[in-house]
Amino acid sequence: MAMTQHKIVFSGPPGAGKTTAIAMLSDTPPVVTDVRNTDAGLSKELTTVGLDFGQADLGNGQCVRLFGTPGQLRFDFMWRIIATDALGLVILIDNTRPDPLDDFATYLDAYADLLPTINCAVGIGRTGECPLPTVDQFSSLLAERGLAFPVLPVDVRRREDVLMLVDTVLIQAEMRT
Amino acid sequence: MNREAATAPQVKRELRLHLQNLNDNDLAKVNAFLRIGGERLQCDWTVVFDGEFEVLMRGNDLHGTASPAAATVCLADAGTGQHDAVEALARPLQYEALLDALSAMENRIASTPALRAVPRAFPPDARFRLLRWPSADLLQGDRDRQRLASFLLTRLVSLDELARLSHVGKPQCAEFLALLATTGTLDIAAADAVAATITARAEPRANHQEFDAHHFATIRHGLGLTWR
Amino acid sequence: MNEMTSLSTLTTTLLHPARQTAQALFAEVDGARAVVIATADGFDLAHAGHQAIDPARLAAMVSSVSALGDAASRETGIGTPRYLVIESSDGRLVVRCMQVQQQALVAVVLTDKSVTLGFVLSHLAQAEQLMNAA
Repeated sequence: MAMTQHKIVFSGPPGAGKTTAIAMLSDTPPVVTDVRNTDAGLSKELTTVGLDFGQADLGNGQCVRLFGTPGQLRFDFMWRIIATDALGLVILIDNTRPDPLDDFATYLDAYADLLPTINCAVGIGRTGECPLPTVDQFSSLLAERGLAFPVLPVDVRRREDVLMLVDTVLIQAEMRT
Repeated sequence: MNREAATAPQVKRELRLHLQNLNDNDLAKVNAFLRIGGERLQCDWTVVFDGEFEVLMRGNDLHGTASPAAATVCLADAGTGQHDAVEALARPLQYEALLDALSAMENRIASTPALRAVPRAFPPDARFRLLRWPSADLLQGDRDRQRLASFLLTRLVSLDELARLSHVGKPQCAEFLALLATTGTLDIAAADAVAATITARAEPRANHQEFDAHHFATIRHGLGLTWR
Repeated sequence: MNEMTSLSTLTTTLLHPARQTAQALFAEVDGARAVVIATADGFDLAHAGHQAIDPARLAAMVSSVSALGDAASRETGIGTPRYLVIESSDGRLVVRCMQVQQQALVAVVLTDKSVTLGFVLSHLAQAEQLMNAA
């Protein structure tokens, strides 16, 4: 039986939870390309510089490959490479960062030519710690660009939240068939 | 192609005004004032005397009737006191006073999205599509609502198709659509309009492969996505 | 998303040795077009050469390549990578993964195809030794 593979990409700024989200869904320990962070402005010991990779085996020769992009802007060349031919894109935002809406705009710009046709969902993390900007403000930013995607508050440490994001991507894909 | 998220032509929500214990003069005034002043109001008001309703207007000598309504307007003789959930209007009923009270009811109802929407009588062949993601207040973190909204994002879909694909009951789908219709973010098209404007359909991605519903069910099952 | 970066103190102490090393590599490797020395997380510390390149972008790219090489090495149980070579139709990128004063660095030399690969590898190994001795 031919192997049917799908790719879902998790993107977003550093610390948004991409690696964690993939780990929630991957059947095996994900491949990570984390190295020691030398940026004193980023409060993380490690940072992804290549990609994260995980895989969810669906049985019957099907699997979903889960890719995570590096978060820093200097790796934006990786974002487009990894997102090519993806079934869907999940953009994760950390609402505790200094300007989450600006972060979001950065990724909307980076994926601008993909977004009209890709299945996409947006997960806003840590809204409990930082309720502003609101989830609705992210929806408004999308609407200003003529886009409409699911925007959900999430905790990527909860598998059901990550699954909900993926489900909204699958729903969009299903509706395009 | 993801559509312009322009505001759809405003669809007026329908609200029902239940009249109780009003004399003939009051009844005539209410009907006349609604007929004259309807354009000023955000919603389409219909006078009812039984069944479900959103706002109750009663004469001040009615006691003991439980009101399931969102709000109550009490028409009373001058000097009757007010309490929190009640708008009090003094007799003789004045045009401006009635419209102001109904407008206040509209704002109160609009600000409480948990209230059940009036199931609209959509045309049987209507198709729906969301122009922007709904507000958090409307979704209320409800998984079914989030999923229904997702089904409405990429192309026009009928009520039957929405219920079938989402496995959410038709009445619940209809109620959600009615709620969305009040926000001005739901595009509603007749079936013949859908046929004429095929560009309304979401463009497939490059390297698009055709998969059926069973395929996506398999993916969901494999990931442990079991909403229903 | 603004990336104002400030390198860690340990990294800034390597700036001067990195500059010296980049200039030395460029001078010693005939056919070298450019040299970049970067942190493992993709910041360029120093560069030298006559070909117009964007050292910041190349630093990020080779750090990604190095990290992917490290992931593949771990996956296959062959230890840690020392070199990665990108042989292209009109030139070659030779990447050395280095440990300098407890800091993971990546050095890349862009050369013509005419340059002997072993020659470049040898000079990169020497460069790491010199940086550690500095």
